[in-house]
Amino acid sequence: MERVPILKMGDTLILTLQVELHDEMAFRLQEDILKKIYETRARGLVIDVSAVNLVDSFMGRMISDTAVMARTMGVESVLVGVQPDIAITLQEMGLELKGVHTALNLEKGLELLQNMGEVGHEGG
Amino acid sequence: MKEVKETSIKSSEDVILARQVAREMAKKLGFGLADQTRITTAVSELSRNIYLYAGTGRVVIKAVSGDSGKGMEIVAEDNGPGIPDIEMVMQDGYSTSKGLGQGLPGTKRLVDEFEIKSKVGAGTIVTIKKWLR
Amino acid sequence: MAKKEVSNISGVLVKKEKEILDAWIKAQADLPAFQKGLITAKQLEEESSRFLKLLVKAVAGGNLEDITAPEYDEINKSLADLSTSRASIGFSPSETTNFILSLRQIFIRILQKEFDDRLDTLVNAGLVFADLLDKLAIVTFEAYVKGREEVIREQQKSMLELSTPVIQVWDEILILPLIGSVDSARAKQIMESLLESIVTTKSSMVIIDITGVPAVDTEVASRLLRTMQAARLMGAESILTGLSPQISQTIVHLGVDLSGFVTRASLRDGLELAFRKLKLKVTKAEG
Repeated sequence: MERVPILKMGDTLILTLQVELHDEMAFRLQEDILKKIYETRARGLVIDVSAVNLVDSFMGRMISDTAVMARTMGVESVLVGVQPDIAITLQEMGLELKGVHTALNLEKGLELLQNMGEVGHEGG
Repeated sequence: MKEVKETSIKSSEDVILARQVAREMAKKLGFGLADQTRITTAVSELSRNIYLYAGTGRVVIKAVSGDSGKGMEIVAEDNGPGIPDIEMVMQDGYSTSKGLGQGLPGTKRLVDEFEIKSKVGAGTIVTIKKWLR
Repeated sequence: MAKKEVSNISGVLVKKEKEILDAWIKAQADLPAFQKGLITAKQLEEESSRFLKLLVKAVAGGNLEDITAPEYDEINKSLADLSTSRASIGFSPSETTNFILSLRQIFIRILQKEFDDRLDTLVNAGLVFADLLDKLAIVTFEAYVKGREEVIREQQKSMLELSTPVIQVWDEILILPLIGSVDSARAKQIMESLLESIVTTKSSMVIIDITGVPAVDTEVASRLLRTMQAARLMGAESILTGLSPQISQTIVHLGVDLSGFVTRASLRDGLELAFRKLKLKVTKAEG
């Protein structure tokens, strides 16, 4: 089965969704991400959906669940690249994607994780 | 325009196929990007419901015209177990499988017309319409 | 209806087509619609001649009553197109229906000449034909109304676009000054243009100013909240400003819940907050 590559940059994992994921692939991906977090001791996760033309309730739920799961492992997640039409659809469907931070693009997503990291250090 | 496209739903790959058919027709009919995405997302929800709850079924997508002008109609049909309490599944947050709570009520908000008929033991038919405006 | 009248009418129409056309064009040219110069003489000639040809064709089979029959498809469609286009170039309803109604007078005059010795044939044929044209006039009018509705819809759309400017005031900061009521069509427009602007300007802060919104009720608040939620999904934070003492009072009295919003009294305060969130500082130049 096709797999979606997960890149590592510093202590951040970057996942760029490009192909249309069917449900089994999405479940597999979720497992892969969590395994990779565990193996690499990453501190942040960026999920880039700028190349995706649709996020339905299943995908939305998947993203939100993955973020919550990652958080239990000490990793904050940022969803980036949500296009206007997808934002409108998600909002109308009532999918707020709780537990996920958002940023306009990859660059801003990395910046956001960076800032959160600093705040975290000050606090601890 | 007398265009009718039928996709039979048997697996989660077919959900993607139905989506592509819907997106293509929405684009061809002249729907804007936001509406294209609304329609495609609605088709995704309905076809996934078929595959999750009934196993197999079909999605028929066609161009229609009516009092409100041109539009698209999507009929998602299965011979699955049916829905005992439609009112309940149409409530926000309700879900019976894998936590897909927003499925039907969310779909309803994406389209202009939404109709659901279901008979326990016989199957479910959901018909949705979106008008060009 | 007696067969004789039908064949009489069809016969006269075919025989006198050229004469009818000339007189009809002349009659139309005297009407105010043409005097206003909305269409050219050439257009008028072409349209009239096309219509008359189609009419001759339609009545050829002897049906002068049922305009829903297939032989009338072509003429109905052509008439509808004509009315729709006239509606869009500014013809009034009466000017548009006059296209058909003016033909009635012409034809009856021709019939008079043809049958001046047979009064009953004249009366019957006149009635049958007048009735047919009335039906076609209704087709014209319905198409006209539809055409106008289309024009109105287009205008409403462009007005909506005009009335919701999204302004980039600083790097990453957008302001959406709302003036007038926020109905559901406008809310949709606001949402779409705001989200587009977030992408094009790469903004991360959105200030929605409601100083100019006369009534903020629960419905308006929830529309604004939905817009802000969608903006958040794209990574932009929103600040609602323009909560004047009066608006605040109304909102609380109405029981509108604004707890999901970051709000400020004035646009100025909102802008200051946006600067602070982006770690920007406005200072007076030295000297």
